[in-house]
Amino acid sequence: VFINCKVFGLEITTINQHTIKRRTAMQKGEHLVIIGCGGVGGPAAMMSRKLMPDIKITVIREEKRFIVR
Amino acid sequence: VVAGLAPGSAIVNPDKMFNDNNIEMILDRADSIDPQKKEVNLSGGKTIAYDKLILGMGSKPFIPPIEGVDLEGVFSLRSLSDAEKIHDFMENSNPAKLVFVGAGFISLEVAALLKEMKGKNFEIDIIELMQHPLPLMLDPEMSETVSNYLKDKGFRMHMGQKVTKISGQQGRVEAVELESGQTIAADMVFMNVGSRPSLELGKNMGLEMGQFGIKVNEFLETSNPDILAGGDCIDNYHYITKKPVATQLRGPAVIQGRLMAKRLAGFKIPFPGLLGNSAVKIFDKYVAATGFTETQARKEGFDPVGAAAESRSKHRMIPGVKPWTLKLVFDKATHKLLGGQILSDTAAPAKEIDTINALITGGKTISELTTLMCAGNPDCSSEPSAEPITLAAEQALQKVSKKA
Repeated sequence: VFINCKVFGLEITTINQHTIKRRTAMQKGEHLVIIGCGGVGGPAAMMSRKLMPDIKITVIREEKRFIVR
Repeated sequence: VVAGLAPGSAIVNPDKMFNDNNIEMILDRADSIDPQKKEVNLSGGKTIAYDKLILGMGSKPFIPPIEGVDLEGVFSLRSLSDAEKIHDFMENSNPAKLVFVGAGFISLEVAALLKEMKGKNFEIDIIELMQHPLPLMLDPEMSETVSNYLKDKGFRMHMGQKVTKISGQQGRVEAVELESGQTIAADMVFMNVGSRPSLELGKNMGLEMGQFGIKVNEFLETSNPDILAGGDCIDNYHYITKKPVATQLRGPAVIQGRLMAKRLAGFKIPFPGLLGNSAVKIFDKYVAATGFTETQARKEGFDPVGAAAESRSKHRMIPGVKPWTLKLVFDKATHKLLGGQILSDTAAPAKEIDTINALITGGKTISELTTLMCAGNPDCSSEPSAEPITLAAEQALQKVSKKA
């Protein structure tokens, strides 16, 4: 499992004692979609842009106006 | 916005912030997610493909199933649009009798702002199922100070009371009926009794759920390898017990949003869990709390010891000095700090709650806090001899020593 993870850039993660293999880090050109633009969505989008200038970021929100404090 | 102190437009962020950072903003409702195709389907008909997806759908106000909650003049407050609806109703209907159901910080903060509105003299009733106001923040003896303060300000406090019905005529609210048989006249009712996470999208696509929301690990990753989630819609866990908690606060949501971005950028920083640190201003009184109250600690199976110390915002001889009270809660078994509560007549001491927060996450014990040294200045702190963290810790030390 460790060798496979190394080769494919996967990381073994657990959730509720289940094991899930996932590629955690995003790559150049990939698309991050964020649903919601309240406490989570706005900060997630702005920090993602700061740390990953080469990905595409889309935020989907229902509200015409939103508050980010 | 409710009290007319600021227009809605003054507290919103412009989309320009996102446009300037090359972030696409789509105004639409996400109807469903196809995890196999890795696509989000929007109600407008568009489909958006993703490599990674972050869910932050938040929560909605919980409206208890009580007869009459749909009457005109009954409101809940969660979003900006709720605040604007309330403001419009008040402008058009000119209510005089306001009833708040729930004595949490949203109710009390809004009630205080409305009571202070110039040219109005609202009659305000506060109804709470628990025995005292701010039950999630304060122990009864701390809360009693708040309750008496609110009564002095003219609020009628109905603690330990259950609402059985909201009655009205011609579709408009007229009264709130209590289990005790009492009826309280109302031109307007605010229902602020908590919120429920928005889980439809997550449930429909088959994400694993926890007790209070979408199940996530310490990196806020869901049961789907390409989806992360944070904020009010996840099954948050408590910092001390690591058990699921229904705490829904903006502060942790912002930290979680930024943490998910860091995870996707390759960092591996676990989210520590929530302590529920929060603060509220009610008239000129500031209340702040973090971690467990003594009551909550006991419910969680701890044998707690609480200690409260009086202090002041400046040295005693400085003009403008105001009192404040700090209560600390420790675990008798380990002597570790479990929580803190602050009541203050000025703003600055309330932010000491973040120090308490840091001391909890640092695993500090009673003895360690007896040697805590704080910056002291006549204009911005009490005398070092009245610094309340060490005073409260010294009291706790005496209490646990007596028991031993």
